Amino acid sequence: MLELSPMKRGLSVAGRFLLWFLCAEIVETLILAAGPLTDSASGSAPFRLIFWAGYALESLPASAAIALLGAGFLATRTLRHRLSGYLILGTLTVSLLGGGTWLFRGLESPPEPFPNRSPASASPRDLAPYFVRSLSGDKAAGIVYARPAGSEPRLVWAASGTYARDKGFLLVDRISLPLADARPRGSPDPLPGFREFRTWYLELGRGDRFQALAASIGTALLIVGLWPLSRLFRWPLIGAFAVITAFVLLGSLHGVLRSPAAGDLAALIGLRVPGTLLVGILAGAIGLALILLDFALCPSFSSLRRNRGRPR
Amino acid sequence: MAVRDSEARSAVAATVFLGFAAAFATALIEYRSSEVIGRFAAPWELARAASLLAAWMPALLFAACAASMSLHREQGLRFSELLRPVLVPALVLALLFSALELTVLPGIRRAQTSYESLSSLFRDALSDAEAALKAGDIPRAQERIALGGAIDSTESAYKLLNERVQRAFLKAGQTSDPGSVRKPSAPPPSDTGATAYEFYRRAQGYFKQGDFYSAHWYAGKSLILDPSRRDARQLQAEAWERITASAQDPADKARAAFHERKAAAYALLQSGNDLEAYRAFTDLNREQPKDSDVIRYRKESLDRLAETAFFAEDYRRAFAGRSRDGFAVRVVEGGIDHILYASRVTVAGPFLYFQSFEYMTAGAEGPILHVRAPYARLRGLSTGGPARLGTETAPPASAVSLRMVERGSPREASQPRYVKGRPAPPGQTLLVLPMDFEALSILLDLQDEAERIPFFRLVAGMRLAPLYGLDPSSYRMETALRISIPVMLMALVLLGTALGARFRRDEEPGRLRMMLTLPLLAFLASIPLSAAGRAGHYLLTRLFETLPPAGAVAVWIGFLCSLLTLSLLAVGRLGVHASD
Repeated sequence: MLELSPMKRGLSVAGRFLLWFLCAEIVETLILAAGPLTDSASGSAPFRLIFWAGYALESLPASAAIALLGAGFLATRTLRHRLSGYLILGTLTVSLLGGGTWLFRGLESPPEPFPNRSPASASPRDLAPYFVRSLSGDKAAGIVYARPAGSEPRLVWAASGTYARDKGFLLVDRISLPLADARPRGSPDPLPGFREFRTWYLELGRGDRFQALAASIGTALLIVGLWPLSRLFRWPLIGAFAVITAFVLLGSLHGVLRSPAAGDLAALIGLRVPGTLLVGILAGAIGLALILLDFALCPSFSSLRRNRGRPR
Repeated sequence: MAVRDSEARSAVAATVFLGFAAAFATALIEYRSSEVIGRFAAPWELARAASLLAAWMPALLFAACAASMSLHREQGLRFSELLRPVLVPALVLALLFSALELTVLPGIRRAQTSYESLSSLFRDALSDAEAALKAGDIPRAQERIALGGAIDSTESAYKLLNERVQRAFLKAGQTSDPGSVRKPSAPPPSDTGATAYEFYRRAQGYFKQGDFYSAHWYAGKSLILDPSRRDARQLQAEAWERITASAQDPADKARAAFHERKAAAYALLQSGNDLEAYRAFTDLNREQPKDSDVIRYRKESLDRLAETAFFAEDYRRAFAGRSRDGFAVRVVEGGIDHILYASRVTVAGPFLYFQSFEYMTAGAEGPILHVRAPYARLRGLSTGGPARLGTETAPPASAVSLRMVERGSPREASQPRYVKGRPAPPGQTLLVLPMDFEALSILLDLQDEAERIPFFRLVAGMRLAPLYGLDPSSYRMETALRISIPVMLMALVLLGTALGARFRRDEEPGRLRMMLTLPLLAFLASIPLSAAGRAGHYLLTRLFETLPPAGAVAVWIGFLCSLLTLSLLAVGRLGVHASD
């Protein structure tokens, strides 16, 4: 095999990561948006853009995990030092997830001009522009910019309510629905916990900026922590199975970190921080622990046999 | 030490065998909490183990192929020679398992469920019998214990309780009629085929013997057969005169009144009023349990009643098993819609039992007939021609009884209510529907859990559903899922082999360690495979929701073909690196 310089090997890993990420991002966004698109979706061009952006944003964590899975095996085989691997994969994952929360903030302001419709019969919660995702009779659900009484218009992402067909607006009964609710009836969630994980990530940007950033970095570290799982076992096949399984269970694991049990656990060690920050701290701690385990238990990459699964 | 061909082959087989052993052990552990009765223990164990093995099979095959290939170390072989000992047995197993999944396994899953429901029914029957025994309701206790005995008469709990119920029954009999043991009444002379003249002769004989009651009875029977017989009418009048003339004391008067009621009940029976006749004979039977005429005609009226009505105990027994909620079918025949709805329905032998039954026929100008009945029972009618479902040569038909009668107390009987239209022949309580019993049973079966429906039932359901106004898309989707089983398994075998070739182990792990690692591998593999299965199901559901059925099936088949191709390519691509 052709011997590449360390720089080129690093670039190759980063390239592989980005390639996998882009593929996963496109496929996942298409899968998530396909349902709503076929379910009588409507709306003007700016709203269509927001619609796609919403689904693309919520796909970020899962796409990053898939990219890490795809590039991680290559990194194990080709890189000389695992530290360089962590630098490449870690930086990319943290940047993508952290950047996602910033992107969300950019979408919060509605496209101009914001229509000012407030018929006398409508309730104070009446909403203006919408992107209808599903429509059944006079009930509709969509991505909605709301203008609650006495405040500025803001994005509520998802809402459901009565669709005033003749007036062209949505009277909202319920907001903040999970965005990806296009799951057909009777069909189980393909990846348990991922739907809630995606929604949680999307909602991150609406909260405190520092906490959002901390939570996204912690989650990115947790995802990076999956990489060493492939090297923890002497038999590389088990490592491969373990890392794939860990990826599938990532949504459920993150759900545990968001659950009250995690809060109780934090209280045990006297940690009293807001929920979002706590999730970031716990996820980051687990990710770091896995990375430290890698340094403690797995042989260094310098002893790695090229083109084979595990270091000797 | 390297893993050789024979070892690779046996590793795949051993994994499946170990899987079955683990499934059987799991079923054994589950048995304690399953409450399955002893009679069904062994078949339930086997059925449960087979169900579990079927659920684990994809992960087992995948892990076995990956492990065998990962440990394969024979030198100097071409890649195809390396693959053969792993792929061939695994593919054979995959195809065998697919064949079983399409034919036998749904039946096994259904059998497992029926063992569980029968066991539950057995326990409920025993517990009801015990409660009835404590409350002193011996007939109910007997009925419930009989149901338990029909399911399993060898269970010790049944034997003990049955002894107590029989003892209580004997004790109750002795208390109500001390010192008398009821002798079976002598069989009455046969009246079958007797003519009016023969009845008249028999009446004459009894008159001469001084048995005026029998003389009056047989003269009446002769008149029912031939009302123009004056001699019989005269003899009946004379006998009645003697009866009333001699009835001086209260006992004679009561006897005369009983006789009159018996004659009236018989007239009801002859006039075809079976329910009233059965009610009258049941009342008479309570007063004179030994009266041979009453016994005989009570049975006869019961038999005739069973042709147009059904009995509550049969209904309750049928619903004690599994039932389905909300059953609605629609058939169009001769431009008329026939719609059947029931809130609950169950099948028992050749009958379908309904709760909150509703039937409507509607033409172009609106509803023609609309009838409701709290309970109903449907049975198939032979069409005379070759009975082929859904064909025009022999239109299928079924008869629905709309009247349910309590056998022990026939005063309690449910009645249909005609909301619109009038009852047509054959009667007010009997409807003939243009629906086939077999087809309805199949459609009812299709409301079961998908994994328990046999493949051929699904195919039949797909064909029948449109004829009965049902949407066949769910059956089509399930059929598409079943068809994908062999493809998915083959793809798993190929991908497992590819993954094993990619992540080879350089050192020999030791046979024991390898066998101990295999369950861990299978467990780890089962989680992503389950997610992949769910994703496939999601995709298929979306396809059938979005596209017309033919398009959805075509896309799905295309997807399966591309999956198989990709799996083959994955193995082929690894073959390029295998020389390393």
